[in-house]
Amino acid sequence: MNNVARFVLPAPRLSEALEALLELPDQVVAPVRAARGDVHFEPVESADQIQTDFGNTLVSPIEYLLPSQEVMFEYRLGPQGQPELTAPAPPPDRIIFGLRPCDVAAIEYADHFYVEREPADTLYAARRQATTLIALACAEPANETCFCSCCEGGGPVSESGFDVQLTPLGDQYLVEVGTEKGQRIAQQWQSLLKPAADELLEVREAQTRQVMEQQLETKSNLAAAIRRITAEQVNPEIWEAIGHDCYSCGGCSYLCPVCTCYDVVDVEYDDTSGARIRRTDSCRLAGFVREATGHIPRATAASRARWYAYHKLSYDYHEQYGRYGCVGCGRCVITCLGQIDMPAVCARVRQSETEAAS
Amino acid sequence: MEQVDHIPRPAIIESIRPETPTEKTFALRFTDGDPFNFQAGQFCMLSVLGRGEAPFCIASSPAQTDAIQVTVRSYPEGEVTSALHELTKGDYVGIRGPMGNGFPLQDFVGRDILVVAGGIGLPAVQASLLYLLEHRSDYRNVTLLYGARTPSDRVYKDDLAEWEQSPDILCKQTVDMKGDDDSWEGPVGLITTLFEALEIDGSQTSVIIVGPAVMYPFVVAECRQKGIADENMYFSLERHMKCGVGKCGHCTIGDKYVCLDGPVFTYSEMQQMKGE
Repeated sequence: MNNVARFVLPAPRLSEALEALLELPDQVVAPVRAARGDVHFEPVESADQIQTDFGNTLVSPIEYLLPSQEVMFEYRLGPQGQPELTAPAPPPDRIIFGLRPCDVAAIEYADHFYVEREPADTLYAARRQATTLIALACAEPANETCFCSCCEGGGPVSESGFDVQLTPLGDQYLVEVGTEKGQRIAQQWQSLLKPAADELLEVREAQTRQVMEQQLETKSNLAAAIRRITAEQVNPEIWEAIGHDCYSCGGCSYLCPVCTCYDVVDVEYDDTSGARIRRTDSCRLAGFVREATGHIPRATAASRARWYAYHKLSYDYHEQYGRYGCVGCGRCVITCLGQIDMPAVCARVRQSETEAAS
Repeated sequence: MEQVDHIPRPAIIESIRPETPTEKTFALRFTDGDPFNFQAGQFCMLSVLGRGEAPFCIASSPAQTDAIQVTVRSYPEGEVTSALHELTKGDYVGIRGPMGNGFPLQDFVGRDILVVAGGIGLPAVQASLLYLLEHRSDYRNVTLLYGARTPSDRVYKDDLAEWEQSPDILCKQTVDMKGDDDSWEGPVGLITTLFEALEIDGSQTSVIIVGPAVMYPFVVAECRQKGIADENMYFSLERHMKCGVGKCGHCTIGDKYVCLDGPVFTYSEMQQMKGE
């Protein structure tokens, strides 16, 4: 990201900055603590709802760009059955505050997948266009399950993809403004921001390195897995064993902010009207590839585990998408019942390499 | 920038022709007045509103742009195929497309063309056959080998009968078994038996192959026997699809999207595909 303007926001003045955001006409979505303590991204009305002291949310804020379910169009049938189709209303202007860098990376991936890689998806593109991203970088790993710095373009601090990024550095935030959308936010915060001294970048660099050093083991495993999966050098028994441990629940892919696959179904409101909707789908489910004949090309959990890893980690797909399909958010680690999350699979694939080599 | 249109174009069912007990051919006329330009071998996404959308190959000539034909086999588990079979003349459907790459028929100019179709694979090569016959002087020998399970399982019986008499195309048919049709006078045997009497120059031949997957290894072996190179064997593959534009993720084989990179692949390309 070129021409990033850097400022400092004193930590005690963050609430004023958030109030200033709420003065804008955009809907503001931010981390909110629910009754039982979980934090979710939700539309907010007042600054005191907004949480900054949280790990990361279980559901990625990419949900506001890729909803788990959305209407593609609605239809109404005329007296002769002639259809009248209506596209969904344009999306609202929206600011998402508090995204972690892993989720910013996931949105960069989706931008490439849905828009830059033609044909462009109009529904995603319109929502993305209307959205401003204010990232909140991590001073320490957000959760113990994080492995962002193992992933290409990942880490506790975003290098690109944000409009504005706040990095907590002790009693102040480093505020980076990367885009025109970001400049609008900076303007709104004009009275709160001071110019940033260059030394601050060094302070942040040291802080970031500390986080990254905690994740070295997984980094090596991921690199080895990428190599072996691309070269098809993984012993089929590894996939059999991973498939054996897979509950085929789809949890990993439903929570993965990089997973983009969707199902399309029609719903009938009544005899003469209805809608076509798309909703998140999972390649970990057998029905994902089931054909009308009943044939299921990837019928075993092992073949689906292999496919999932291949799609995310092979260089073949890197060539198409420009990056690997994992941002290290760790949500699969949290949700997987079979302990075959991304770091675990990479470790098992790497272990098989070590055994083969010795 | 090329964009996905999620909203299908309306079309009206102009006629329905039963092909077999499980297959019907629908003639669909666009009602919005815009031309529908496509290449032989491309497919479309066909909607029955309220029931869903599914991919079907376009089985009419690319020269016709105001209407298309599709042939649909109804499956008990297939929501859209069942819904289509319930429709009658005058009902509306939705169409998105065309999609996919199609057969590179322009690249075949000056060559012999062999088309090998099995069962419901014939509709997937029909647009190509019609195109080849409309541009007959651009090509050398054109041959169609068609195999079906029984005589009554054959689709496009009128076209096949006409082509058997035509000087423009060598059309050979076979059935796996006679079934209950005693009037069948043609050969009985698998499609590979039609290769025995076939006199072709393999180095000059491009072959188009569509049928059940079980047929492919045997047809490939016969084609290789005739000296046809793997890169001159063109297949049209089928997968479960939801979007048709490389986004929904259902149709991938290895690193290929059947909807976007295909559905037409050479046998050389198919051998490079990683995974099932």
